[in-house]
Amino acid sequence: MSDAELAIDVQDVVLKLGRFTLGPISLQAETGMVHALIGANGAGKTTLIDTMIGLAEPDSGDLRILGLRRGSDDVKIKARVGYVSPNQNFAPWGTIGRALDFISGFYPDWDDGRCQDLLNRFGLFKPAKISTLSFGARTKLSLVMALSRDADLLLLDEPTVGLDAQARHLLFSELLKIMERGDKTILISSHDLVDLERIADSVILIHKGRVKAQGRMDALTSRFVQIDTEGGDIVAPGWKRLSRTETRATWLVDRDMSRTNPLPNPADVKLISETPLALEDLFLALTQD
Amino acid sequence: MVTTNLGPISAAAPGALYEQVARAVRREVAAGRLKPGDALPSVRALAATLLVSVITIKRAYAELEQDGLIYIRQGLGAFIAEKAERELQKLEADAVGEALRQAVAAARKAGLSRDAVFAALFAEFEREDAK
Repeated sequence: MSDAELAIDVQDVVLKLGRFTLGPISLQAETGMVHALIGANGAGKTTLIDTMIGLAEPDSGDLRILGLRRGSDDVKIKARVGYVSPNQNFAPWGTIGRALDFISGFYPDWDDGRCQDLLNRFGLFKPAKISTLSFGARTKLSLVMALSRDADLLLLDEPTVGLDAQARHLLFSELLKIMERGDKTILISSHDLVDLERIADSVILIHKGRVKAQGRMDALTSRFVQIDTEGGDIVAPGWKRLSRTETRATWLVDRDMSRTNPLPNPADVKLISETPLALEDLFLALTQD
Repeated sequence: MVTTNLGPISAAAPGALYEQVARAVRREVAAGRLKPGDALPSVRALAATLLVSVITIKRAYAELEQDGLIYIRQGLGAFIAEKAERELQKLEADAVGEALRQAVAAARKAGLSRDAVFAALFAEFEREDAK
């Protein structure tokens, strides 16, 4: 894959933050796709996104964003990347209108008409004081700022926090419209795994600062299966025991690693059921220690 | 571009999302609302309309192409195949065969006799005819 086809290329990044260490982590995100970044609280999602946009500096490793080198091309990166995070604080600007006036000045790709349209549809008003906004309304403002531009890459850190069903629907519909031309890329982190399973093309699962699984959504969800058995134990590559009672056990089976179909030792183990996994089930199973 | 409604797609409906999209196209072909030569929406446009990922639509189209219901021309898009209706009839006959296979297996498991299953099948036809 050439560099141009990679919107995000992270190589061996390490960042120590107190007792938490992000990495060593390497991952690639293809252009033209919606990538879901998932992980438990504290897994390192926000820190990872922050290293991409220059809000955190890795101790070592290489990051290329849209083919540009993080660290030396940061101005160019910021001009082409839209960023949304619950940590953004626009309150010092007073009103929504003042904040938008200020932010829009930085971006040549800002579209005033689109901004007004988004404000209307998210139900935001320019004279409203930011300090009086609900958490959800602040998220909406952050989204309006990112989506009023024509950014090539959107880094969306928890963009659905505090949003009601209507606003989430509006957001996903806007994101998929942005993806229509095929030259944009979105990285979205969220705990709404049902939503992500529906709209994302690929998944990056991080756990304790490292990549635990990465791949196309359909490939990943069909690669793993949950198998319930009765009888003895199974020790075989690709088989991870999730729970066990006296007579039964539940397994997470990685079909890529398991060469047995479906049971490695059918003589003393009986198959009870084989269940496909939704992204959320898979996430829980893969992050269970 | 055909404006045929291929939705809605729901996590609460049976089948994976891509299967639901493929099923919607088959439904429209069976009803004659999509005819040979009709263009389907582009993968990305349909993804945006149905609010599902691009790979979901790609997979649905790939499956429909494999079944001979549509053909894909690089750069032009996806179109309903000339022999879509015939292929659809074949698929439907296959589906009936599969449903019968499962019914027979379930009957065996439940200890139902061949005659009991035939009787139930005839009764089902009678009920349908009476509608």
